[in-house]
Amino acid sequence: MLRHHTQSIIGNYNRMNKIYIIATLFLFSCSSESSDQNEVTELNHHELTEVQEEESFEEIGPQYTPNGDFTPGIFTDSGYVNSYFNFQIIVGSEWEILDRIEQKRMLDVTKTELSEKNAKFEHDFDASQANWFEILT
Amino acid sequence: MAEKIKSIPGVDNSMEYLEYTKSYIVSDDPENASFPIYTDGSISTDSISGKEFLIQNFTIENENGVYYQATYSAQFDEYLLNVITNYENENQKTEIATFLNTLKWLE
Repeated sequence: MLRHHTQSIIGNYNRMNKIYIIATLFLFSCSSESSDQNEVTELNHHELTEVQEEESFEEIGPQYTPNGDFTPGIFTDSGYVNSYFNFQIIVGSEWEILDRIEQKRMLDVTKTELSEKNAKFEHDFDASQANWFEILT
Repeated sequence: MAEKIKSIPGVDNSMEYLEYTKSYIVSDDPENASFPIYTDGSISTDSISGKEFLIQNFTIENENGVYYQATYSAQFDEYLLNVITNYENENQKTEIATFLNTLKWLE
Protein backbone atom coordinates (compact mmCIF):
# COMPACT_ATOMS: atom_id res chain seq x y z
CA MET A 1 0.00 0.00 0.00
CA LEU A 2 2.74 2.41 0.90
CA ARG A 3 4.53 1.67 -2.31
CA HIS A 4 1.43 2.33 -4.30
CA HIS A 5 0.77 5.46 -2.33
CA THR A 6 4.22 6.73 -3.21
CA GLN A 7 3.65 5.98 -6.86
CA SER A 8 0.31 7.74 -6.70
CA ILE A 9 1.83 10.78 -5.15
CA ILE A 10 4.46 10.91 -7.83
CA GLY A 11 1.73 10.91 -10.40
CA ASN A 12 -0.26 13.49 -8.56
CA TYR A 13 2.45 15.56 -7.03
CA ASN A 14 2.09 18.59 -9.21
CA ARG A 15 -1.56 18.77 -8.49
CA MET A 16 -1.01 17.90 -4.90
CA ASN A 17 -0.69 20.38 -2.12
CA LYS A 18 -0.99 20.08 1.59
CA ILE A 19 -4.68 19.46 1.15
CA TYR A 20 -3.95 16.18 -0.53
CA ILE A 21 -1.77 15.20 2.35
CA ILE A 22 -4.69 15.69 4.64
CA ALA A 23 -6.90 13.67 2.38
CA THR A 24 -4.32 10.93 2.69
CA LEU A 25 -4.22 11.31 6.41
CA PHE A 26 -7.92 10.65 6.50
CA LEU A 27 -7.58 7.39 4.63
CA PHE A 28 -7.92 5.12 7.60
CA SER A 29 -9.27 1.86 6.40
CA CYS A 30 -8.85 -1.57 7.80
CA SER A 31 -9.67 -4.79 6.08
CA SER A 32 -10.64 -8.23 7.15
CA GLU A 33 -8.46 -11.25 7.05
CA SER A 34 -7.47 -12.56 3.70
CA SER A 35 -6.59 -16.05 2.68
CA ASP A 36 -3.82 -14.63 0.54
CA GLN A 37 -1.14 -13.21 2.76
CA ASN A 38 0.48 -11.43 -0.11
CA GLU A 39 -2.61 -9.43 -0.74
CA VAL A 40 -2.47 -5.93 0.57
CA THR A 41 -5.15 -5.22 3.10
CA GLU A 42 -5.92 -1.68 2.16
CA LEU A 43 -7.16 -1.24 -1.33
CA ASN A 44 -7.41 1.91 -3.29
CA HIS A 45 -8.76 2.51 -6.73
CA HIS A 46 -5.92 1.00 -8.68
CA GLU A 47 -5.18 -1.86 -6.35
CA LEU A 48 -8.78 -2.93 -6.33
CA THR A 49 -8.64 -3.10 -10.09
CA GLU A 50 -5.59 -5.29 -9.88
CA VAL A 51 -7.12 -7.68 -7.42
CA GLN A 52 -10.15 -8.01 -9.59
CA GLU A 53 -7.95 -9.11 -12.44
CA GLU A 54 -6.95 -12.16 -10.47
CA GLU A 55 -10.00 -12.79 -8.39
CA SER A 56 -13.36 -11.16 -8.77
CA PHE A 57 -14.89 -9.17 -5.95
CA GLU A 58 -17.59 -11.78 -5.51
CA GLU A 59 -15.09 -14.62 -5.41
CA ILE A 60 -13.08 -12.98 -2.68
CA GLY A 61 -16.01 -13.35 -0.36
CA PRO A 62 -17.69 -11.61 2.50
CA GLN A 63 -14.54 -10.25 4.04
CA TYR A 64 -14.63 -7.58 1.37
CA THR A 65 -18.11 -6.37 2.10
CA PRO A 66 -18.22 -2.61 2.38
CA ASN A 67 -18.66 -2.66 6.12
CA GLY A 68 -15.98 -5.22 6.99
CA ASP A 69 -14.04 -3.87 9.91
CA PHE A 70 -13.54 -0.60 8.11
CA THR A 71 -13.01 2.15 10.65
CA PRO A 72 -13.27 5.38 8.73
CA GLY A 73 -13.95 7.69 11.61
CA ILE A 74 -16.28 10.63 11.59
CA PHE A 75 -15.93 13.98 9.92
CA THR A 76 -17.23 17.04 11.62
CA ASP A 77 -17.39 20.60 10.38
CA SER A 78 -13.99 21.29 11.81
CA GLY A 79 -12.11 18.04 11.69
CA TYR A 80 -11.96 14.29 11.93
CA VAL A 81 -12.32 11.75 14.71
CA ASN A 82 -11.27 8.10 14.53
CA SER A 83 -12.49 5.94 17.36
CA TYR A 84 -10.36 2.91 16.49
CA PHE A 85 -7.08 4.78 16.77
CA ASN A 86 -8.71 7.07 19.28
CA PHE A 87 -7.71 10.50 18.08
CA GLN A 88 -9.14 13.65 16.66
CA ILE A 89 -7.61 16.31 14.52
CA ILE A 90 -8.99 19.73 13.84
CA VAL A 91 -8.72 21.05 10.33
CA GLY A 92 -8.30 24.78 10.39
CA SER A 93 -9.73 27.23 7.94
CA GLU A 94 -6.63 27.06 5.75
CA TRP A 95 -7.21 23.41 5.04
CA GLU A 96 -9.78 21.76 2.91
CA ILE A 97 -10.90 18.14 2.68
CA LEU A 98 -11.10 17.26 -0.98
CA ASP A 99 -12.63 13.84 -0.82
CA ARG A 100 -14.39 12.38 2.16
CA ILE A 101 -14.23 8.64 2.36
CA GLU A 102 -16.58 7.93 5.21
CA GLN A 103 -18.27 5.06 3.42
CA LYS A 104 -15.47 4.09 1.09
CA ARG A 105 -12.73 1.53 1.34
CA MET A 106 -10.42 3.59 -0.78
CA LEU A 107 -9.40 7.04 -1.80
CA ASP A 108 -9.99 7.61 -5.47
CA VAL A 109 -6.94 9.57 -6.45
CA THR A 110 -8.57 10.55 -9.71
CA LYS A 111 -10.90 12.77 -7.72
CA THR A 112 -8.23 14.89 -6.18
CA GLU A 113 -8.59 18.45 -7.21
CA LEU A 114 -6.80 19.63 -10.31
CA SER A 115 -5.74 23.19 -10.57
CA GLU A 116 -5.19 25.00 -13.81
CA LYS A 117 -1.46 25.22 -13.30
CA ASN A 118 -1.27 21.46 -13.02
CA ALA A 119 -3.11 20.70 -16.20
CA LYS A 120 0.08 20.15 -18.11
CA PHE A 121 1.34 17.56 -15.69
CA GLU A 122 -1.98 15.80 -15.81
CA HIS A 123 -1.61 15.68 -19.56
CA ASP A 124 1.93 14.31 -19.35
CA PHE A 125 1.16 11.73 -16.70
CA ASP A 126 -2.27 10.23 -16.77
CA ALA A 127 -2.47 8.13 -13.63
CA SER A 128 -5.72 6.57 -14.75
CA GLN A 129 -3.96 5.11 -17.76
CA ALA A 130 -0.84 3.95 -15.99
CA ASN A 131 -0.27 0.24 -15.81
CA TRP A 132 -0.31 0.01 -12.05
CA PHE A 133 -0.31 -3.74 -12.06
CA GLU A 134 2.98 -3.75 -13.86
CA ILE A 135 4.37 -1.04 -11.66
CA LEU A 136 3.52 -2.92 -8.53
CA THR A 137 4.79 -6.31 -9.57
CA MET B 1 -3.80 5.02 6.50
CA ALA B 2 -3.89 1.74 8.34
CA GLU B 3 -2.58 -1.68 7.47
CA LYS B 4 -3.21 -4.95 9.21
CA ILE B 5 0.03 -6.42 10.43
CA LYS B 6 -0.78 -10.08 10.06
CA SER B 7 -1.58 -9.64 6.40
CA ILE B 8 1.96 -8.56 5.57
CA PRO B 9 4.31 -11.53 5.42
CA GLY B 10 7.28 -11.29 7.73
CA VAL B 11 6.12 -8.09 9.34
CA ASP B 12 5.31 -7.97 13.04
CA ASN B 13 5.92 -4.35 13.97
CA SER B 14 6.52 -0.84 12.65
CA MET B 15 10.25 -1.31 12.22
CA GLU B 16 9.80 -4.39 10.07
CA TYR B 17 7.04 -2.66 8.13
CA LEU B 18 9.29 0.25 7.21
CA GLU B 19 12.06 -2.13 6.19
CA TYR B 20 9.58 -4.11 4.15
CA THR B 21 8.14 -1.11 2.36
CA LYS B 22 11.55 0.41 1.77
CA SER B 23 12.51 -2.55 -0.33
CA TYR B 24 9.57 -1.81 -2.60
CA ILE B 25 9.80 1.94 -2.69
CA VAL B 26 13.47 2.59 -3.27
CA SER B 27 14.58 2.39 -6.86
CA ASP B 28 16.79 -0.58 -7.66
CA ASP B 29 18.08 1.13 -10.75
CA PRO B 30 17.76 4.88 -10.22
CA GLU B 31 19.56 5.71 -13.44
CA ASN B 32 16.73 4.21 -15.44
CA ALA B 33 13.83 4.91 -13.14
CA SER B 34 11.21 7.40 -14.24
CA PHE B 35 11.02 8.77 -10.72
CA PRO B 36 14.12 7.76 -8.77
CA ILE B 37 13.48 7.29 -5.06
CA TYR B 38 16.31 7.27 -2.55
CA THR B 39 16.72 6.80 1.18
CA ASP B 40 19.70 6.67 3.48
CA GLY B 41 18.00 3.72 5.14
CA SER B 42 17.92 5.26 8.56
CA ILE B 43 14.85 5.02 10.74
CA SER B 44 14.39 7.59 13.44
CA THR B 45 11.74 8.24 16.05
CA ASP B 46 9.56 11.24 16.60
CA SER B 47 6.25 11.83 18.22
CA ILE B 48 2.90 13.02 17.06
CA SER B 49 1.28 14.69 20.00
CA GLY B 50 3.22 12.50 22.38
CA LYS B 51 2.73 9.17 20.62
CA GLU B 52 5.98 7.72 19.37
CA PHE B 53 6.23 6.94 15.67
CA LEU B 54 9.07 5.51 13.65
CA ILE B 55 10.02 7.65 10.67
CA GLN B 56 11.71 6.87 7.42
CA ASN B 57 12.64 9.56 4.93
CA PHE B 58 12.78 9.37 1.17
CA THR B 59 13.99 11.68 -1.55
CA ILE B 60 12.03 11.54 -4.76
CA GLU B 61 12.99 13.04 -8.07
CA ASN B 62 10.64 13.81 -10.87
CA GLU B 63 10.79 15.93 -13.94
CA ASN B 64 9.90 19.00 -11.94
CA GLY B 65 12.53 18.65 -9.28
CA VAL B 66 13.13 17.01 -5.95
CA TYR B 67 10.79 16.55 -3.04
CA TYR B 68 10.82 14.63 0.15
CA GLN B 69 8.58 12.07 1.76
CA ALA B 70 8.48 11.06 5.39
CA THR B 71 6.61 7.95 6.46
CA TYR B 72 5.48 7.77 10.07
CA SER B 73 4.45 4.39 11.42
CA ALA B 74 3.16 3.29 14.82
CA GLN B 75 1.56 0.08 15.98
CA PHE B 76 -1.88 0.01 17.50
CA ASP B 77 -2.70 -3.54 18.47
CA GLU B 78 -3.07 -5.49 15.23
CA TYR B 79 -2.83 -2.46 12.98
CA LEU B 80 -0.16 -0.05 11.89
CA LEU B 81 -1.18 3.56 11.62
CA ASN B 82 0.88 5.24 8.93
CA VAL B 83 1.08 8.91 8.12
CA ILE B 84 2.82 9.95 4.95
CA THR B 85 3.87 13.54 4.45
CA ASN B 86 5.41 15.21 1.44
CA TYR B 87 7.23 18.49 1.29
CA GLU B 88 9.64 20.45 -0.83
CA ASN B 89 11.51 22.47 1.74
CA GLU B 90 12.07 22.93 5.44
CA ASN B 91 9.29 25.48 5.77
CA GLN B 92 6.75 23.01 4.46
CA LYS B 93 8.19 20.26 6.65
CA THR B 94 7.78 22.47 9.69
CA GLU B 95 4.26 23.46 8.70
CA ILE B 96 3.20 19.83 8.33
CA ALA B 97 4.84 18.81 11.59
CA THR B 98 3.06 21.64 13.35
CA PHE B 99 -0.22 20.53 11.88
CA LEU B 100 0.29 16.88 12.82
CA ASN B 101 0.92 17.89 16.38
CA THR B 102 -2.50 19.48 16.58
CA LEU B 103 -3.75 15.89 16.55
CA LYS B 104 -5.21 14.96 19.92
CA TRP B 105 -5.20 11.42 21.28
CA LEU B 106 -8.39 10.75 23.11
CA GLU B 107 -8.55 9.07 26.48
